[in-house]
Amino acid sequence: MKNNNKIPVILFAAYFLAVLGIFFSRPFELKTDIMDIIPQSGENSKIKEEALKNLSKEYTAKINVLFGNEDLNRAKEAGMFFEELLKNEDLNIRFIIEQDKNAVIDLMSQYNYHLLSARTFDDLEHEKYGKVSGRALSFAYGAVNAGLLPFDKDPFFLAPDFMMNLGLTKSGFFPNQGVLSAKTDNLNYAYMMININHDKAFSPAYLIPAVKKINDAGKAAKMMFSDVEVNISGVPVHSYHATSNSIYEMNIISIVSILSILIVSYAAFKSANCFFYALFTIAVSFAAAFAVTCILFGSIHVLVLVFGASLIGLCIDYHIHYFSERPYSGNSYTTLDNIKKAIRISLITSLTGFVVMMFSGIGIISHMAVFAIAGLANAYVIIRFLYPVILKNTKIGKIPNYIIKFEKSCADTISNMFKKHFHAKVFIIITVFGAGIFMIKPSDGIKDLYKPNPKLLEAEILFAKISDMGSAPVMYIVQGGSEQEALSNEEEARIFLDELESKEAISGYKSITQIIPSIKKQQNNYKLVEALFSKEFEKYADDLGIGEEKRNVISRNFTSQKNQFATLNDIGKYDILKNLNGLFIKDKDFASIILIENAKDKEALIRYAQIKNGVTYSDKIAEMSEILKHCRERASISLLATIVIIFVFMAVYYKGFKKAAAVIIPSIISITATLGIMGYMGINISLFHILALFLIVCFGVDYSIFRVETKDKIKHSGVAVMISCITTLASFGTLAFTSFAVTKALGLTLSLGIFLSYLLSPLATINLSKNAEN
Amino acid sequence: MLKYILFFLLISSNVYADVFKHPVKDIEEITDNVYVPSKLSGDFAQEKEIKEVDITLNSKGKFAIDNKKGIKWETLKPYSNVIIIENGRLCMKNAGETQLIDSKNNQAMKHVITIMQSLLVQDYKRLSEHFDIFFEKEDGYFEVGLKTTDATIAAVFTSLKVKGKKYIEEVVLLNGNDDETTIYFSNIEEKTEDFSCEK
Repeated sequence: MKNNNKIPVILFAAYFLAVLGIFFSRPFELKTDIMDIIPQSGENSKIKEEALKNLSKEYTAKINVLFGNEDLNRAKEAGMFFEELLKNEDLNIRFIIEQDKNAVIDLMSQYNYHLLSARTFDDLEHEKYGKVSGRALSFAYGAVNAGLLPFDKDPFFLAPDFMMNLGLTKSGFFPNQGVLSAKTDNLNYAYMMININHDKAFSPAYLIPAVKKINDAGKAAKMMFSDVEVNISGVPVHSYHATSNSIYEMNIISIVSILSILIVSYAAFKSANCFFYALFTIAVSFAAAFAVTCILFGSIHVLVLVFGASLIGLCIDYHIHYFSERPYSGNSYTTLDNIKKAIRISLITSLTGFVVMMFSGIGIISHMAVFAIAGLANAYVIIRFLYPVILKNTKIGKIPNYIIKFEKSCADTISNMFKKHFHAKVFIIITVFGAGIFMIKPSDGIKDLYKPNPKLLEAEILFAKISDMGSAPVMYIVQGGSEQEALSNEEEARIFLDELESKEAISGYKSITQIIPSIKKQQNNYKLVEALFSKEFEKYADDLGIGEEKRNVISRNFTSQKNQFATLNDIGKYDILKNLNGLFIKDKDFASIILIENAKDKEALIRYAQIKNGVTYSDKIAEMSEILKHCRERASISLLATIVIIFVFMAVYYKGFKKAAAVIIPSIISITATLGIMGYMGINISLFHILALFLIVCFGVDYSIFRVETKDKIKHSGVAVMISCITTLASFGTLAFTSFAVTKALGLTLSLGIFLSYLLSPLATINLSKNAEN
Repeated sequence: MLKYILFFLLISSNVYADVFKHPVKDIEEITDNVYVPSKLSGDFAQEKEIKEVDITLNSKGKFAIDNKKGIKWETLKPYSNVIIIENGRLCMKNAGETQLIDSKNNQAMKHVITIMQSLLVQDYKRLSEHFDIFFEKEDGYFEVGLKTTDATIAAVFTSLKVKGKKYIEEVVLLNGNDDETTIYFSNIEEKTEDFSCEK
């Protein structure tokens, strides 16, 4: 044995270094977006995913800032001060919008004969040339200059007609005092858009300091202009808050967990060794779990890290069992012999639960399961193979009597309560709490998963109200074999959407062909204008009194545009149009995205997509909620399956159903009581509450197993279970105070369930004693 | 004949000094000196030059302004065309076609309509938000000058002069291409008519 002492240490060190080596050799991405946690499924999920990614490429990098004051100029001044503070940062700030007007004029001057408003197109197609020239005459005779372009380049005023009837959005923003402004009942707002570099928008290392600087500049502007409201919103701000909150919460959870271990170690074992070995086990298990998750998935979500921080409480269980037994065993190897069977079965049952979680079909849950499996397996390896070697000469104090007495009195109280009429009492408890289960309402809304802080929410609501972006994104994704085919197909779909808009079934839509039509459509538009010129121009020019020379100039200008078509490449040339990039996918596939606003008749939209080839309907929020509902239902079935699997495993292991039932009954009562209490308290349950129940089964069963397995071998097995419960509660309990609905649900449910599991774990031994007596 | 009258009016307008040399310090300077009736109607004659194609377009018609109800601008010659602004709606009637734009859900349109309305009802307090204002009064004639401070409005016109004695008599607009539009008002009465778009 002595010669082999160093072998486990060397092997473990080699394994750990190998894992870290692989981890550091591969780059990984830290994800913060709440949308990342939802799996994609259903019809055309690939193109829907691609469309969403394409859109988010534009929107995830955009921050909206609204400066509000009764006097717009005052709001503008605050904006300029804010802009000045950020001028040296790597940010693209759009505030003064003079260049927007020039961009529109530049675009229109090249293609105005190819871009027609819907009404002009309709009139020309129906050969109502007089109507078009009549409108042009009223433009010409109007008191003010109605032309967007010089008269000789646009005699029929097609450019202002196109712009006026664009109907791109019902946004509350309008140009005023050189900025995009908006007006609510009391205040005037000046709008500033900040674009973060796309490539860096997903990197927390860049995003956090960048958004922090923007927030700080906002605070400085607020201090300098105390009468001006500064509202900052947008996806990067949410990412910033989510990431910095997660980091903060993770630190708090870690500190609370570690402190609780320190206090428990000192109180139970009067030894700093226990604490340091616990830290060693946790740190190595956490690092291994982190590395394995990143190696397998290439990325890790902050929620996995928050959940991972609570793994401290789980890893420590085996450690506590070892340390509780060590003072009473002859040596480190005997200690291991006394507990190894119990921790092995515990590990198997826990892994069973996590493996079921791993196949939940939900990315983030699978990541959490892998993280937990890797961490737990690592902790088991450390205790099973390293502890006997490294703790060989370590002295550990005996557990103080007051702890032993306290635990004994708790266990005795519970045991005494159930000694008589065991089955009847279990039946009553299950019935009373079971009734509460029927009061539970499901909560599958994606919006319930993330609640931003009130100030950010307020800023987001204000921006949504002004920009009319309040409704959830419903879209059509229109595919085509080429760029032009996709654009043509979109134009066809728009005819249907125009019909719906006229019936007020939708309030409007945004699409790329509203600005840049397909070349086919542009050619058609040009032909119609050509007919307008041939039928009406001479009379129109006569009416206005335009001389021959100028008529020739106008004709030449018209002819020179014939083969000049607006293409998607034009979008990139103008800042104001760059956001439209998100509406077209030009990768392997060609697809165009139509964002539909305030869709009231979703059924009609779905029906059209079903009959129209190449058109896909997507309602992300509804689909996500549907997926969450499906996953919750599937997880509920998996939970029952897990209980059955563990029960069967126990039955095989113990060669009988009675012992297996004795071990699993406390967990079943705990789950029923947890659900019942939540039902009576009116807490709606989501998928994440169900996942917490998995953990309750896994760890609740562990407590029973440990009591049953070590009852005759270990002097104070109950104390080890109690200490395990305290440390687990300390880590999971803190999750209940996190800002994420997901971790909050896990924390609340687990705290309640784990506590009940500990309280009820003595029932396993009573039941067995009764069976033995019988 | 009309040309001669217009020429005379143009010459006579030179009796006004360059108003843009006289910035207004306090809007009350104008409100105390310019009579702004709450209702006003009359005839107009407009002369608009478009230098790019060397033409001058002459038109005439009727107008009606009611501070509370709205504005009606009706061109009668050479073409019939009506623009009505009432209750936040812009109504345009032209060649048998009526286009109604409701500014309730269109802030940009609301903004334009508000400025146009402020101009025609001579709400100088509101106009001072978008223009530098100038004022001069001589021999009983007043002249108000407006220079836009807003690039968006500058796309439509860069400066405007309002001239008159008791009532407004002449408006001169200048756009970015230096095209000048002059509108002469006559037969002014303090009464208004129906502003309904439907009629």
